[in-house]
Amino acid sequence: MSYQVNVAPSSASISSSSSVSDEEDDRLSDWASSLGEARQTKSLFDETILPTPEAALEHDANIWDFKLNETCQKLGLDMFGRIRLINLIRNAGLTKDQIDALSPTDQLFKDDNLLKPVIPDDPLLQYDPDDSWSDDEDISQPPQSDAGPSQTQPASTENSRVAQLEAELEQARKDLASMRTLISKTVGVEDDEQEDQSSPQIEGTGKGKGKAVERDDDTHYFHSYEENDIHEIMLKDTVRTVSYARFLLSNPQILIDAIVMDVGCGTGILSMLAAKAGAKHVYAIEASGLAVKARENIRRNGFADVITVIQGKVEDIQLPVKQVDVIVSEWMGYMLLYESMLDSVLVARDRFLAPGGLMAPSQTRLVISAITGERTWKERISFWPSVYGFDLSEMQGPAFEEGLTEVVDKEEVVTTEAVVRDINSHTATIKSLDFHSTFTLRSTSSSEVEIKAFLTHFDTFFSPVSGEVSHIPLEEDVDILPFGDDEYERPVQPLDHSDKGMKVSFTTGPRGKYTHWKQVVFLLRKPIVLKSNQQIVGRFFCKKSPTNSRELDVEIHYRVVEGGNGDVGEGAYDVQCYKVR
Amino acid sequence: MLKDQVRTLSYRNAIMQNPHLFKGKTVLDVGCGTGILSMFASKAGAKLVIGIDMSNILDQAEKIVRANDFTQDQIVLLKGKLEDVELPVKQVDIIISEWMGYFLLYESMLDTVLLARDKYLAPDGLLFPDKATIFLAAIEDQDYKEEKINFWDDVYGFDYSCIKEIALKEPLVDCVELKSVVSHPCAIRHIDIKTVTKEDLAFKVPFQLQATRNDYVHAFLGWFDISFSCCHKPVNFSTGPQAKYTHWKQTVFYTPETLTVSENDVIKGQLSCAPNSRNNRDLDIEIEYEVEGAEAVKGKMVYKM
Repeated sequence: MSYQVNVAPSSASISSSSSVSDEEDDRLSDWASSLGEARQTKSLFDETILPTPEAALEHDANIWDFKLNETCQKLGLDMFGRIRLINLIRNAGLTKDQIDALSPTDQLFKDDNLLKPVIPDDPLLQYDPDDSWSDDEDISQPPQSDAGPSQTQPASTENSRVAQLEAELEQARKDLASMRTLISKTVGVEDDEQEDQSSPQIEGTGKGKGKAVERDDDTHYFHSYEENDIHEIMLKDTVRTVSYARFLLSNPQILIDAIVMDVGCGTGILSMLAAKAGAKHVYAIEASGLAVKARENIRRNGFADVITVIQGKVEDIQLPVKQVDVIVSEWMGYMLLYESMLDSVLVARDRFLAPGGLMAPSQTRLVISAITGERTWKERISFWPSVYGFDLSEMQGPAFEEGLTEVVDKEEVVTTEAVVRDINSHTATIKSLDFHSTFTLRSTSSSEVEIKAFLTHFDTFFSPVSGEVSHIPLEEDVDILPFGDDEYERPVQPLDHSDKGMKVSFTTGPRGKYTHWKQVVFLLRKPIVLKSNQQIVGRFFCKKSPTNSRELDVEIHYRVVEGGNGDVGEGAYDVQCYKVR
Repeated sequence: MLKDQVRTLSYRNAIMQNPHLFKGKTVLDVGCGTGILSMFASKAGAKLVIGIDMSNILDQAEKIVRANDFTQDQIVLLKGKLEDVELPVKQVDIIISEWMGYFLLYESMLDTVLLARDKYLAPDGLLFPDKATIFLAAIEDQDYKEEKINFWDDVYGFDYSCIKEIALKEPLVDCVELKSVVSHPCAIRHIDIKTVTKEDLAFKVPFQLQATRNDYVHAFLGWFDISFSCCHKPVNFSTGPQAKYTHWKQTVFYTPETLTVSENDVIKGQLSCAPNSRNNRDLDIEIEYEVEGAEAVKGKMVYKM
């Protein structure tokens, strides 16, 4: 995954109003219009669309022998329980037998995440056979308390029935109100981009309680993955996609009959590859609205029985199984850690991976080197002092303050490489992803060179072995060109059962083939002059930005020392700070 | 965008080669960005240039204009929305603005320019630019359609056709070679910035594209020309496939089917274009088309930009 997410408007926030932004609205209505009428309802067990929720229930009763109302009654479910059950069935694709095995005391009937509609505006969620709460107008009216006459009467059966119904109605109102809050929280409400400059922070509207405004680094992030372009770019990145395909399809000893989880499934490509490789079941998790497209792709490719798409954050979702054997995810961002998706993958590992289970990829390394940086310098720095006769040097600023995503020619690299972070997916912790480490870069040039930038890229390894033993030692290099160029274009076929397993790795560095991650260039305000017998020593700091957890703050400390004995000695470091965003 | 030479040089020529129009005048630069057009106008002799922009780029623009020795008396920069900001003058003589978006109107700032015109421009004031024309042509684009659209039919052996349907609806901004164009271009909309109203920007227009050779048509191509017609010697530039590269490129509208045309055949149709009712920065574009003759085809496609 990799996408340059524009900085989420700093005022992007959750307002307590239940209104939904235009953009969100669009998405919902697009979806709704694809179904036609708002009343149209999808069956709980297949893709059939019925004209009304009643008809959908009838269909499910006839075809699948499942009677929702009966089941709700049997389980003694209230309105909330019913909603949870519907969402659970939609989300996890439960069969009738699995549903029959549910008990009213199951934890899932307390799980608030299941209140999130799996299908936006699902008419089935709004349909209630007793119709005691579903109407909005009821809610806005004040409770019709008629404490007067009825209480003076002796409590007849009829009166207590009325009182009970009223109490239920009141409870339903409260429930609905809190559900609305929850849903609006889940959906998130974004400010219109146009207004983020000028409009003041939204305050609690009259209706809701003025709630503390929380920062939301996710909504904008997930929205950014809902466009086709980004998926086209990622799918057409053959180094990326073919490496995953190679690994999944070449390791039947792992994949056959495995339960697999795909974290951030996007269009569903990795899930389908896992299914093709023989997985028993794949749970494809996707937080963005893309889950709908993934589901459709999977259905059209005949994997609907094997792959279950679950829309939600991996931190929140429930699985119908206790654990999974393999977690596959394409979580890498620019400079490996930009967009912080690894955090979610590690949460998934801790929540769901079986002991001895496998993470794919198993290992990643962030690598630094130094480059002449001529081309970047020319475009980003030299251009500005004279633009159509004016001095626009002021525009240079950002180029020194941000990591620049660019393709760098390998000829520009004039030092050795150094690994600044070596991450084992099986053992890493979220905390360890904020880090600093030292590095030493020796000149690889026979003459004096001017270095205008540092460069980072990352290497990715897929090991067929789980745990610490899978760890590939630093001495072992990544495959620079694992397959011939033309092989990237050929479809990958699964190997047969007898194979012992295959390691796969790829680099996003300048030595490898182009990837959509490119490299990240850090321009130096003060270029370094490095003699052939000298080296650069330094420290590389990387942590999540305090203002947006999906962005990174990078700090590079460096100085030049004489090469040879590795004696760093004393001396002042130059320091430059960058944002990766 | 500053590296788009066609764009920036056209503005520079239009402004700096016409000091007689700018001398002693008050100029408003709508969406001034880095301030480059404001500096052109000031150099051309404007008495006062007011640059306005709601983006944070204005902080840099402020430093840039001072670094280039323009004083507060010469160039004033204001941050905010035109609707909200109070200008230091009641009226301006000239409005300059680089407001054009893809396919001219996508995410364009023209609305704001029209607001500025109605609120501040003197009755005999000038607009830079003052004319825009949208063109349409038919193109042969087999290879690229294969790569962009039919790609979704087979993604590493999987059927992604549900994304293909969406991809077809998204106009593609890209550079098209002149040799791909298989019809005469047709000017479908002419916009006179001096008189156009916001309502005029939603329109439905007929077109006729006459084939220049026997070929196949995979898409319609849209672009625009811009004119500074009030200059002593009019300055124009085009963003079409026959002209030099601009960052606007052209806009490709793929048709679901391939049309077959013979030389002199005419593709008749109509194009409607309107801001999306929910998000007025988006465009809803609908193209209806019909080819008569041996390979008759009639179709309609709704695009969302």
